[in-house]
Parts: sequence; C-alpha cells; structure tokens
Amino acid sequence: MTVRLACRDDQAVLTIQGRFDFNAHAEFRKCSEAALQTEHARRIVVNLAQVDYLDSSALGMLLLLREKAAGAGGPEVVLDGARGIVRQVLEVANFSRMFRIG
Amino acid sequence: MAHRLRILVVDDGHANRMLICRFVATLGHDSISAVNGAEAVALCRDALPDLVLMDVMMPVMDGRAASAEIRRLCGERWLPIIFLSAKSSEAEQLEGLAIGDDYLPKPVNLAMLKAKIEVMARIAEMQQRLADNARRLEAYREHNEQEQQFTRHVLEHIVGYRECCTGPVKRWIKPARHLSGDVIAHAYSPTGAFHVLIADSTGHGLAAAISAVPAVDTFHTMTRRGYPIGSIAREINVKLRRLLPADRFVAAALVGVDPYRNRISVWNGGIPAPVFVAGEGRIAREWPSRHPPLGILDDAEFDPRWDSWQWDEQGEVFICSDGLIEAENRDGEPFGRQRLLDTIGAARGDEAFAAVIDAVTAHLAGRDAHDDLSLASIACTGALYQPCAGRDRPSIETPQFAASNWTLALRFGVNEIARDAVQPLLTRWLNQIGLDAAQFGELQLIFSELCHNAVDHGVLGLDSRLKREPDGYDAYQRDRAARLAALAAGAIEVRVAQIVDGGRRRLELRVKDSGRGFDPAPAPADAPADGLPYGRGIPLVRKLAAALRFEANGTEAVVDYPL
Repeated sequence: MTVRLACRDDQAVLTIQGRFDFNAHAEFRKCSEAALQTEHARRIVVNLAQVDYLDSSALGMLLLLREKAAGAGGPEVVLDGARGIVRQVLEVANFSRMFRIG
Repeated sequence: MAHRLRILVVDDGHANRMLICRFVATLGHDSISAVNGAEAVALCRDALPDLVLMDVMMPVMDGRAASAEIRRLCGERWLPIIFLSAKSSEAEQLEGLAIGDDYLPKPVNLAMLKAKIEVMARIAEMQQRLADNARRLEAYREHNEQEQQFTRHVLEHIVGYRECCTGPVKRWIKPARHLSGDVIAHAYSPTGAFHVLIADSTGHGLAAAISAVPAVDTFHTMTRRGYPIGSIAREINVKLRRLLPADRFVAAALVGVDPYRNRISVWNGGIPAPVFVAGEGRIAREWPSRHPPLGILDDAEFDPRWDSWQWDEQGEVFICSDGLIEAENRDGEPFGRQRLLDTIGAARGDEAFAAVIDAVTAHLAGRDAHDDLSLASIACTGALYQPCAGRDRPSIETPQFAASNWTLALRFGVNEIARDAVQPLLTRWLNQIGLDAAQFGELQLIFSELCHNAVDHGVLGLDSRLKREPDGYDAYQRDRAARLAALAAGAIEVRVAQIVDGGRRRLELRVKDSGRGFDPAPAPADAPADGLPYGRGIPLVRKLAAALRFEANGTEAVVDYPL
C-alpha cells in the first residue's frame, strides 16, 4: 500500500495503490494533511483507480478527510476511478450522498 | 559504573581469592567468597549474586560442576559466570565457554578482569530490562484479558445475546476478535409486528462493539414504544452522529415484519441487500442499501424512507454483514454473494440457515476471518406471533377504575403526525387503562389500522388504489413521505370511552381526522379478496372488534370493543 500526493493547478491528487485498509492509516493521514495545506487547492481528488480492496476503516478515513476539508472552509473532496469491488463498497455505503464520485 | 554489583568470588587459593575480592571492592562492587564449588552453590542457594568469578580446578566440587548447579538454581534468570583458570589451551577455553559466559586465564590480568566485569554488568542490566519488560507485558496481557472478558459480558447483556425470547429469528455471529462489532437484535412492537436490527460497526474489537451499544439501546426502546423503522433509524443516526468521531459509523439494516398484513419494511444503510427467499429457494425480493450507514449524515440530510413489500407466499428473509460475503479462503477468494444465494437456494426449507453457516465455515477452512461474520434469518409465515410474556403489564388494576364510565380524549397535531408519533404516544396512554396482554395487543392493532387510515387517507389524502400498480407500494411510500414532509395543517382526535352497562364493560374507540372524509357505503362491496396487496386493514379491524362504523361523513371511525 502506498499513498502519493501530487498538486497541479487547483487540484491536490491523492493516489492510493493496493489495499486501502487500517494499515494505510498513518500514511493516508500524513498525505491528506499535506493536501489540506496545499494553497489554492479547490478540490482534493482521491484517486482509487489502483486500489483493489477497501474496508470500512478506509471509508472512515475518507469521511474524516471530508470533515476536515469542510472545516477548513475548503476544498471539495472527489473520489475518482473506483472500480470493481471498491466501487461496490462505495455504492453499498451510498457514499455518493457525501462525495462527488468520478 | 552506575550499578553496584554483588560478585561471588570462588577460588581455593587464599591469596588469589583475597586479591580479586580487594580488586572488586576498588571497582565499587561488593564481594562474597567461597573456597570451593560446593560452598559457592550453598551461597547461591541463599541469594543469587549478580556475577560469579569461578576458578576451575578446586577440591570438593570443581568450577564446572558448581556452575552447572548454579545455572539450575537460576531458573529463567541469566547469571553471568566468568571462568578463571590456569589451564589456557584452546580446547580448555572452549570447554569453559560451554558452561560459563567468558574465560580469563590465570594469572589474572586485572585490567582485563575490570573490562570483562563491565561488559557482563552491561549485559546483565540489559537482560534485567528485558525480563522486566516481559513481566510487565505479561501483566498487561492478563489485565487486558480480564477487562475484555468483563466488557464482553456486559456488552452481551446490553445487546441481549442471551435474552429468552427467540421468536421467528435465527442468528449467528462469529467475531474476528473477542468482541464483535456486528450485532443482531430483535424486538416486538406493541402491535405484534417484529423488528430486527443488524448492525456492523467500523472495524472490530472493543471500539466497534462499543459503537453498537447506543444503536441497540435505541432500537429496543423505540420498537417497544411502537415507532416505525424509519423513525428508529433516524433517532439512532442522531445519537451516533453525536457520540462517534467522524471516521466511525455503523452500517445497519432495520427490518420490520408485520405478520397481520404479510408486510415487510426495510431501511438499509450500508448492509448487503437482504433477500426474501420463497419456496424452492426462489429469491422473491431484494433490498439493496439505499442510504449511507448511520452516524454520518446530519439530521437535516437524513432520509428515513423505507421500502415496503407484501409477501404472497411464505418464506424467509436472510441478512448478513459484508464480513460474511468477504470471508476469504486460503487462496484469498471471497465467499461471495453468489455462493451465499446458491447455498440458500440448494438447501431445503428449514435447513438453509445451517447450510450457509456450514458453507462459510468450510470456505474459511479453519482460518480466521478478517472481519466479524454475522447472519440472521426471519421466518415470514404470516402466523400470529405470540408477543413476549411479561412485556407490557397493565399498570392500573383498581376495581373502581374497571367499574367506572370514563373517557380519555387525545388530540394530535402536525408535529406528532409528521413524526409518525401518533401510534407510539397512544400506546403509552393505552398502557395506563388496565388491559390484559391480549386485549392490549388487539387494541394496538385496531388503533394502528384506524390511525394509519386517518393519517394516510384522511389527513394526507392518499389513495390506496395506487398500491394496485406494479411497484405501487414503493410509489405509495414515496408519495406518503413527500406529503408528510410538506404537511402544514391537520389533526387526529382519539377518544377512548369505557361504558359499563349491566355489569358488562366495553370500550368505544373513536378516531377522527381533519380530512375531507369519504363515502363509506361502498366499502364492504369493495372489500378486497385475500391476496390483494391493499385494503387489509379494515377487514382486520372488523374481525377483532364487535362493530365498526363510520360517522361524520367518513371522517370518524367508531369501534365497539367488548372487554
């Protein structure tokens, strides 16, 4: 599992690879805090295209990111590129109610 | 050196012994001495030193034999032993190191001895720290184990794993750790309907188990007071949102089974779709998750709408947590929804539940699952369930009360109607008028029907013929929720009067709504045949009561109920 942060224009993109579960906690928090501190970022995109598994603690991390972003008066959080089982988990949890899903 | 050591010096030569003892003292350590191996062992038996300087060749018992004996006395503790010997061939040194920890040739080089003592002291200190840590860890583990057991005991009682009343529900939970974050709870509503909650908290273990407690508590309380599942889901959401941190939530499905109307209602937020399995394993209905899990949304965003469906053939509802579907075998292959449905389909009637447990257990093949697994099934037979004994005892049983003519009048406004709270509030009053359990249940049913009609057709002006359409129930429920949310005016008046006449008691029940009314005359001719998905309410009331009539242009239903 790895998390990478890339910034371009008004977007901060968090790219996650592999299993997105509790073990990703420290790394995801570090990168998402950096993303929240990115100046001029109007949008935080979480790229899930290379994630092949996601559990409920990962959903919790995404909710936490959304709350922090809202608290920072800030950027919209977009979940992008989810496929297969990852897309199914997001659908069952009806995350489209809370996030824009790309 | 930080540490003052107690060093045992063993040598049969007096001069040598004295020399080393004095040297040890100059290094700041304490010394004790022995003249042969046997004496050394005896001293160690009283109290173990921190370090032993051991001559090899001695009368009575030599150094090697004494060292072996001292090692036995030490048990698990490590005691450094340095051999001092005039024999200094390589073979002899190797032989010494097999029992001792180091070897120093005689005559002793004092600088070398000092260095070796320091090394041993450092190692001994490290060993001591490790042993202390291990002891602390072990103590912590034991303490933790006790707390887990205690917590488990308390949580199991809160969520009611051990309650007496089983009803039509089967349930199975296999926790990933000591404590399960999955919970299956069930309770009867005052109308005899049956509610089941299956909840799956984020993660597993203690944190997950604790998250489920407020959900279960609210579920039991509100079900007993007669609230519908949507209102219960809303209340649990409010509680969890307030209590849990942002990254914790509880996926949950609430299932209501109304055996009088053959109706199932489901509110599903984040649980894999429950299925209704009819005869021969046919999947007659699925309820996919239509809401986010509980504890995430603000109350203003919360959607309490549920799906409602009527079964025309007996069957069984199966619900499981995602842990069961995702349970992996040795090759990392998940159990999967298809395998679940196939297993249910292949089993005969009663055996489906056990067959699923067997199939998952075989799939795991002794491996631990990553997540809690849970499975529940609810038999939907349409038979009248027996509510739990001792559930709602009448609170007033005075003879005067039973012999009086009295009237109870209640008026409910927009607030109560919009929150679906008419029936629960009424229940709390009915609890006070001295009915036995059977009468209480029947009155609940009668009021449930009459209030339902008064709200839906009177105040909201809904047409039950809408339900005749395919998927009419869903359309009806959607329409109902929209009208309820927009409700600006309306009222329901309920009157309960006891009439004592010639020693016989009866109740007159009146439910009046603020709607436009209807022409009740054609109602009997229009009475539906069994099997139609609507209009069961009024015939049910006629069956339970002595008489039912409509007054005031159809806005007031009047029921006679003999006691």
